[in-house]
Amino acid sequence: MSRVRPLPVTIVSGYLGAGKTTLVNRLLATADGRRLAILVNDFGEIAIDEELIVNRAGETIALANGCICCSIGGDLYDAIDRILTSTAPPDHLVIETSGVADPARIRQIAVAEPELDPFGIVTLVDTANLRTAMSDPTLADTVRRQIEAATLILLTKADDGSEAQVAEAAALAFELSPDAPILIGGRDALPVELILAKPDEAGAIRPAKTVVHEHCGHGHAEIYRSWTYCGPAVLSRETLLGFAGSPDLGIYRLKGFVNLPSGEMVEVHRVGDRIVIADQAVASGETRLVAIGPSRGFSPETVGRRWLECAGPRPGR
Amino acid sequence: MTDTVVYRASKVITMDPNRPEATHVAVREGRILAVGGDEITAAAGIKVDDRFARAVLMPGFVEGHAHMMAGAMWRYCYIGYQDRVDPDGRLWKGVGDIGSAIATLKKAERDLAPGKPLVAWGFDPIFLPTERLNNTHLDAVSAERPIAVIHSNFHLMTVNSPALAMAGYDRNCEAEGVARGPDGDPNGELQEMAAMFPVMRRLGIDLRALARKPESMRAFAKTAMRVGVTTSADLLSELAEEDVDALLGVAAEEDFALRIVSVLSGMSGTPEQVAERAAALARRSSENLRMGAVKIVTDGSIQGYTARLKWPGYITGHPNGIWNVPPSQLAALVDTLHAAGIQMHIHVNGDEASEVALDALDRAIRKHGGGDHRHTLQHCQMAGEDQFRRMAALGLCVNLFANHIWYFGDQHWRLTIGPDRALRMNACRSALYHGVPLAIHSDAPVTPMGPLFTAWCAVNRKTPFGRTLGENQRIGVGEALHAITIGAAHTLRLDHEIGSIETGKKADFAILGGDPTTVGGMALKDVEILGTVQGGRVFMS
Repeated sequence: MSRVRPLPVTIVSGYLGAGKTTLVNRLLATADGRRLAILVNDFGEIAIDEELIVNRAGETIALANGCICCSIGGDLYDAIDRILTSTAPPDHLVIETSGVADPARIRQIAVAEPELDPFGIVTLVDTANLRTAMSDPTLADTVRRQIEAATLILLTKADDGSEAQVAEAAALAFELSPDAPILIGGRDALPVELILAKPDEAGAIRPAKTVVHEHCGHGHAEIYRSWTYCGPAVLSRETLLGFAGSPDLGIYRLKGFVNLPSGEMVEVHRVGDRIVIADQAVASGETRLVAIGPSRGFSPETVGRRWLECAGPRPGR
Repeated sequence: MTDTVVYRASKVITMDPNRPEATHVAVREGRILAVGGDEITAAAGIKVDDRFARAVLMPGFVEGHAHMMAGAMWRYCYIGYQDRVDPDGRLWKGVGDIGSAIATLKKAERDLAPGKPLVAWGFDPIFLPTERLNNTHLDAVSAERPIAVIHSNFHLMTVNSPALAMAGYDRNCEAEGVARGPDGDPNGELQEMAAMFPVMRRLGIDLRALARKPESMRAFAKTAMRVGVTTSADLLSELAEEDVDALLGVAAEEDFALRIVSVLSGMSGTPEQVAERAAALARRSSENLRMGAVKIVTDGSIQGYTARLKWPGYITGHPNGIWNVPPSQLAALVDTLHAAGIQMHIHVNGDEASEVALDALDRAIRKHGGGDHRHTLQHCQMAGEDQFRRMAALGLCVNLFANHIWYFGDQHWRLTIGPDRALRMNACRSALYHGVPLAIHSDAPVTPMGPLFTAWCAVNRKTPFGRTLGENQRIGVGEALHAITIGAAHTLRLDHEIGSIETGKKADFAILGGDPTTVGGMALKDVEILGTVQGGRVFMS
């Protein structure tokens, strides 16, 4: 039952009313060719646009774009097992947690299971109601834990509250989770590229691209940028780890294949502050990397300069 | 003419205040026709059945909080500390050290078909004085066949090296729940479900699916019969339509010895959907399968540090536990179900959880009125006097986890909530003092089902380290026997049918080899159980 590649898992966390279902619906609508499987809590209403639905069978709803939406039902583990053993496994799994779940615990499922790969925790924070939640002693620690566990924070309902509330929420989010990019919903575009993996994205990097930065559409200001490299660079494992793990470059995600001096090729993968260097890369050929970060704090030029320092101007160093 | 039987016993303990003791009980059509002395035979003109002449009859015991999974576990090899008898009557000797655990496993391994994983359960390192069980010990049982030992608390598992390899657990594994030895390699112990799951799915261990199988239900009934239980709650079920048909079928089998109260999960839909389903299930209830109540789980467990505690929380500084349902959703669910007249069993372990549940119930009862709702706080292990006063004022019942005192009491004293709050855990005396209807339970398979043992815990409050955990919360033998019969029946809304030996009620008896009211509190757990009469049918163990 082993999959060739582990299934990336994104956890969507946030207290009741923070907009998890809205986010889930938007991810389904903007899946962009990815075959998503989304596990939703069935406690409460799940509003999926009816015209997108092609089939309902038991706990699973199939959408026209190849995505599926499954209710967690009695047990999250059962639901995950159903996904992993399904005949048409998805490209990416999104778990919408209950409003009081501790996402760090749920992430451990993806850390432990070899067929899963943790891909970050998106925590939604309801700016208009954050203060109320934080002043309720039965809830404050739950909300705090959700923010602390986040690799990406989305401040929602910014337009329902005052600017002061947005600033207060941003300040708290920064205090609790200083490394997580903070985005403001309704103003920043939905950063799908930060939330979901692209199938085989590193494999798709073309040699013609060296350093670019891409723009995101939707008429919003650019919310994330990316940097890519494809070339003959050879790095030691330590140098690669130093580059990929740089705390000051604003890298949120990084993925690619890198040639080592020994002739081996390794796969490198980062989401948030978790970096994995995996031996036995299935790929071969040139070193290729893509790094993405929110435009506040991430500059492709700076990343490119650091890369040159690490990889050196000539191959083989 | 319908058959009538009169059983004569050395003593009949009725739990009926109008006639606490009797010697004869007449049974017709599965119900009690009369209770009394010799005179009822004369009146009925029937021959006396003397098979219980040397036994003591009590009302069939009522287990107010257990899970059908308790029957399923016997499919696996038992290696717990206590001696246990399996559903088919086979004695499994308890294991007192790792050596005997290994010996039991080796024996089971020899009987297993090639390629099959060896799974064991019931293991409890707290009772073993030696080093902790690890993969090396289990590799000595088999270095080829995967082995998983499920600990008695279901939160831990120890596996051998082949099982570690199947899950891809090596020294580079980042999972928090994969414990390591001094050399940095995984030592076989897996903590919490996230770490256990990869092994379980590769070894085909699916306890929830197993618990739904008809054979597990039959095993559960047999297990219950051997400890004198004639009615047991199955306190949390999804009750999917196809399962309900199967459950009804098994419950109607001629040799099925148990009345099961299967309680629907409150998380299986919106509050309105849950209310509708519960009402529909109530209409499908049969003699031995009762449905219609709803279970809501608010928090986790104290020993797992997932229960929600009021200040000052865990003495170790662990962060507070986790909610299973947000307090505001709990309030909405409680409101809808209470308004619909549906009985709720609300799992609350920590005192913050019981507080939040009390708040929700208070609001719903204020809004819709009270009535005979029988809402029951389940476990409710940390409630203080203030909360018992509130339960009394709101007309709530409580089902306290008395077995916990023995199985986890020392742990709570040392590692979770400290002596002061541990002394008041499962405060049976407080419940009775404040007039809160009381049941006590095992939560089988978390601890073994055995109402006389549960009563022993409530009476003596002993721990394995020799402590008396809360002298002032001990209750009397009579009070404890009440809690495991009519008290538990009250919390299941069945006290009009079962829980005492009274004319008109079901002919449900526990057949005992001794008299629990005279053996003394310390010997309560050792009273022999010979079998049961359930719905008039005799089942001898």
